[in-house]
Amino acid sequence: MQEDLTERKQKALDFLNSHLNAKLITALNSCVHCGLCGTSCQYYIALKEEKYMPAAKVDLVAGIYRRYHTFAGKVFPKLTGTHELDDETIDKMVDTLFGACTMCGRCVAHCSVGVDIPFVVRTGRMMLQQMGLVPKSIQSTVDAALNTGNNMAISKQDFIDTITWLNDDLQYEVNDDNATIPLNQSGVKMLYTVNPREPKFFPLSISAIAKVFYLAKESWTLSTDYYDITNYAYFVGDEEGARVITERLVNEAIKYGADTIILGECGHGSRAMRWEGPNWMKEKYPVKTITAVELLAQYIRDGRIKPDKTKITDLVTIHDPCNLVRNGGVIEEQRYIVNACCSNFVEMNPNREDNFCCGGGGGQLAMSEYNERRMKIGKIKADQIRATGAKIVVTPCHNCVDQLNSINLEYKLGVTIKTIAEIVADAL
Amino acid sequence: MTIFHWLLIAALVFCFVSCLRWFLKLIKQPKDYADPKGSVADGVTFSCTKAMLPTHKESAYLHLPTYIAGIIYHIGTFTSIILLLLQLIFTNFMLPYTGNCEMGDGTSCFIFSSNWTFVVYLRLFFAVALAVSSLCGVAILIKRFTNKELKALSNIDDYLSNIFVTLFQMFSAIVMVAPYSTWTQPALFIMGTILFIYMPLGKLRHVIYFLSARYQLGAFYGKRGVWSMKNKKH
Repeated sequence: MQEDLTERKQKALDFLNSHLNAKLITALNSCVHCGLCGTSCQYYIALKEEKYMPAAKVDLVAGIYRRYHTFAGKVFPKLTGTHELDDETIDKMVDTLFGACTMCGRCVAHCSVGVDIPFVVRTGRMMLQQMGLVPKSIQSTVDAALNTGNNMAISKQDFIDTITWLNDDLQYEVNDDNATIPLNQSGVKMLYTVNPREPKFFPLSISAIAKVFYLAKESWTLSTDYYDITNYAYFVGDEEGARVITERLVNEAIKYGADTIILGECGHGSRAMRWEGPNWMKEKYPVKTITAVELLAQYIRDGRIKPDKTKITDLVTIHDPCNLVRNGGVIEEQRYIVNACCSNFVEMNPNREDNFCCGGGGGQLAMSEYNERRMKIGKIKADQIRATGAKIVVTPCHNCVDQLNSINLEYKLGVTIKTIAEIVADAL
Repeated sequence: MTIFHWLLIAALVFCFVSCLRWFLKLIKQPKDYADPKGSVADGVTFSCTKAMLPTHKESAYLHLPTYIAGIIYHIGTFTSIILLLLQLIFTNFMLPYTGNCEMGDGTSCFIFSSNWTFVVYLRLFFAVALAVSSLCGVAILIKRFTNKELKALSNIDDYLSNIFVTLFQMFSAIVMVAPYSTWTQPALFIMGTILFIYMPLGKLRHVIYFLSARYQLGAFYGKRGVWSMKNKKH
């Protein structure tokens, strides 16, 4: 058993060694331990412990790098505060890299140097993944996605049944017996993807987007095999798993002749598919990708749908999902949509790329062992929402919706959480 | 040329070769296959300009005294290094002109040395400025010793780096006020030698990695269309 662990540690060190490119070398050598990043991290702000400072998280991985890859670290390990990859270090890595970081990246732009902290955290997670030390809860989510095609292991029949029911709902909603939610339809322009939470818990968000597509006369389809936009393999540092999940969606689009994949309202899924996926596949996609938010904004600009902003008069605010906004560049589109659909809109402060994470990112929602921490850091978001006085919080990410619903209950905010598609559908 | 000159030159060569080695490893960037939404060049420009200002960085505007001390400290460090190199090259650097300073007789002099008053005031300016930057270094060191969070984060290298650089600046300041003393310049050269030998071993190598980090940061946000010089909201 001990020998097995030693082998696994060596595997992790070999992994680190093989991934030392310019980007990682830079990130591992740049932190100067100024400690100013703490005030940009919600874990440190909420929990006030040194171990939650972004620099401390970076140092866990950088310390291992220094120990095994620098002259000073090899000869004078104490001088530069190196870390042996021993059980104590590993325990700390699991606890803070998985359990105390949403990889939101808020610390990065505010870092005095500009260290890509989430990138280092992800590298640490990759090393843990190499050692088979990913928390079981999130690993089971990844396994479900890889084994069944979606992270909630929804059976094909259950998915079809749900969509069939939603189809009836759509026909009633738009008063057209020919309205459909297309399944496995070839020759369409776009393949739509969803977060499995939608068919499982929030089917009305699929109804909402279907209504929008119907009114915009979009040529689209859902696939019953691979529709899951989420990619938790990205969060656990399983690059091969992440590649498989990405490739499936690309192949599915090709199979149905779609030239575009619509990235459903999921922050990390959109980021993984749009920005990371091509690098896992080591090639440019043969199809285009567009986020649902960008597409809906385009519909409104082009006049393909005409929302009536007088239908929504409650004060509305936007929560910016980190992976879509700060890490994905979709910043103004959701504001354009909400302003077109709602008569009263107020910004959260801070907002856009400076926004705080809801607390559910980085796979936190899938790691029940850290629920208590997740709810504590959620207070920052709760305070932000409360300060706006809004009655409706709109966010283009189903993971954020889940976390916002949780903090809505925990901190008694009394708000309604909606996705972008839902707010658009409400205004049509 | 004294033994102190040669020691310093050896340390500089060691430091330069080490830095060059790291720099060469940073040239080849990993290929990014994702289609851009914005401009890498624009993002990098933003990263190296506006993004570093107190108006944009929490590490600056939430910690303004530390930020200002850090800026002054770094300016002092680079100034001290430039002054050291000039003293290494010009034997009579910033010494008042004595009339026998001619090229070819084993001495050389700096262009400003023909004006006594100017040189004295210039020396005084540098002495005061470097004294201030040294004090900033001391303040940062005290903060590292006394701040609970910072102390937990720090290792021996963090303290040593701070001490070496601060002493280096202090010696630079002393040389400015006491140019004729027999010990000041050798002491500065010894301190410079220690500093340049130590630089590749510890965190001081961020002199190279800082630039790379700013580039990476700007490239990331620039390509994704998050950071742009044209964005009015910035």
